[in-house]
Amino acid sequence: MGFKMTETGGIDPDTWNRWHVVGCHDELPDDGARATRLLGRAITVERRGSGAEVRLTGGGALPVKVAYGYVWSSLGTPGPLFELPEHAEADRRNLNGCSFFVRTSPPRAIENFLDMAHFPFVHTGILGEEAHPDVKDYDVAISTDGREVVASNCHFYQPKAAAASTGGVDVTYRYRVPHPWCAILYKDSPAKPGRSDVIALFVQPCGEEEIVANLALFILDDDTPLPALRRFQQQIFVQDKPILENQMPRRLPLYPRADSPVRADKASIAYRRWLRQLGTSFGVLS
Amino acid sequence: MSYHPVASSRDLAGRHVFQACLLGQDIALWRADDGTVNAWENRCPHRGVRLSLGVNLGDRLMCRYHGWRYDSGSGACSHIPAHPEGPIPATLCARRFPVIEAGGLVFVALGDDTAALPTLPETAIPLRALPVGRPAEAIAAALAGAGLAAAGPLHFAETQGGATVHLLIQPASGTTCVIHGLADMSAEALPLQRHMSRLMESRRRAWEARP
Ligand code: FES
Ligand SMILES: [Fe+2]
Repeated sequence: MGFKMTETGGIDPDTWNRWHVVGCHDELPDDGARATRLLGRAITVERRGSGAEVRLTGGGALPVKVAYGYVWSSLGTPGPLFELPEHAEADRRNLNGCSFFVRTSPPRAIENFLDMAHFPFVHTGILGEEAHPDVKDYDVAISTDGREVVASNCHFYQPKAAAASTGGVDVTYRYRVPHPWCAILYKDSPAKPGRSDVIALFVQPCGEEEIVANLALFILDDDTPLPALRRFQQQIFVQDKPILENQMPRRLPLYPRADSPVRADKASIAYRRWLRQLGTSFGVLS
Repeated sequence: MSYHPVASSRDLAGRHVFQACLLGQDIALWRADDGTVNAWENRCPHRGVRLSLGVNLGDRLMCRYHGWRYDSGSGACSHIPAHPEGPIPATLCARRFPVIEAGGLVFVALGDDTAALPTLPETAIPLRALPVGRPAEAIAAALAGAGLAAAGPLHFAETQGGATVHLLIQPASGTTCVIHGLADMSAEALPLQRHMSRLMESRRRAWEARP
C-alpha cells in the first residue's frame, strides 16, 4: 500500500502514523470535551473513565491510547508507543509537572531539552551557574534499530538539581529520544543514590510552529509536596519559553550550515541526523 | 541597497540592545561604551536566538541562550563558555550591516554598496517615531499626494510651526513602516513636538482606515 502525501495534507508518513500526546489524562475536564489541535487539525479530547475519546472536530473518532498518564492519538495508523518501564515502578511518584503552550516547532523544544550548555545562562543558580559553564564530552548514538537517539555519560555541575536538592552536585544525565517529539531524561536521584529520577518532555504538535510542552515526572521523592514539585518545573520552564519563542527560524533547520554547532551540541547534531533518517518534514526546514 | 533610518540615536542607550526591522530583516542594534554603534542580524550564529535578548557588556554582546560573546565592531565570536579552552572557528561571526549615525537618527543598509545618506539638517531634533500599519510606498504616495516636497523616494519635508520638518520612512516589512521625524530647529521644541505628534496620529488614523 503506497503512502500518498496528498491524503495527509503534506504531512510526512512518520509523523502521520505516530502516536502524539494530546493532553494529560488527570487534567481533562470532568464533564465535556476539551478542544485542542493536533498536526494543524482541530480535535476534541474527552475523558471516559480511565480511557478517553479523541475526535476530529466535526468528524470521526481517532485512535486513542492512555499511557504514562497522558492521552495519545494519531491521524494515521499508529504502531506501538515507545516503552517507559519506569512508569510502572511502584516506588515512583508519577505526575504532570507542568504544561505550557509555546510558539515554536516541536523539534526546537526537544533540542532545548537535550541541551546542557544553556543551564548556566538560562537556569542560573538552579541547573547551572556561570562559574561552571563547561560541557564535558559525552556519548551520543542513534540506536542500531534506528528507533531512538541516546546520549549518555553527561556530567554537569548543578547548584540545585531537583526540588529536593540541598546543595550543588555534579550530576550525571542520560537522555533517550524514542519519539521525534518526546525526550526522556534520567538523572541521579538526590533521595535514592544509585537510581535515577525520570523527567520526560512530551510535546503535543498542535501545529508546525505551536506546541504544548508537557513535563512529566516519574520521580523517587516521597517528601516534596506536590505544589513545590510543580513550582520547580514551572520555574525552569518559564525560563526556557522566551528563549524558544525567540529562536529563529521557528522550524528546526535540517540543512547543512544552518547554524554553528560545537562539541557540546553533539546530541542536537545526532537528533537532527535522526530526523533526516526518519524523513520528518513536520516542523523542520529541509 | 541604500541607507534607511531604523532608530533614533536616543533609542541606543548605554548597555541596551534595541530591536529594529528593515525590509523584513530583524536587526539587533547596540552601542558599545566607546560609542561604536553595531547593527547585526538579530540571530545568534550558534542556535538562532535573537541577539536582542542578549546582554550588552559594553564591548561585547552576550547571547542569552549559551552565553557566546561577540565583539563590538568586528562581530567576531570571542568566547564560547561550553568550551572555555577553545578553539573558536575564525569564521564565527555575527552578521553585520553597514550602519551610520547622522542627525540624531541611526541608518542601516542591508547590502554593502551603500548609496549616500539623505541630506539632513545640521541641528535637528528627533520627533517621536510613528509605526504605521501600511507599506512604506503607500505612505510615500500619501505624503506626496498631500503636497509634501520629496527629497528622496522615502524622504519628505514640510513646514510646520515655522520649522522645516523632515519625514523619513523606514520600510519595516512589506506591510508596515515607521516614520521618523526630524525638526530643523535648535530651541523651544516642545510645542512643535506636541503639534507633530497630534498631526501624525491623525494622519495615521486616516492612512490605516483606507487600505
Ligand atoms: S544560540 Fe546564542 S549562544 Fe547559543
Ligand atoms: Fe532549559
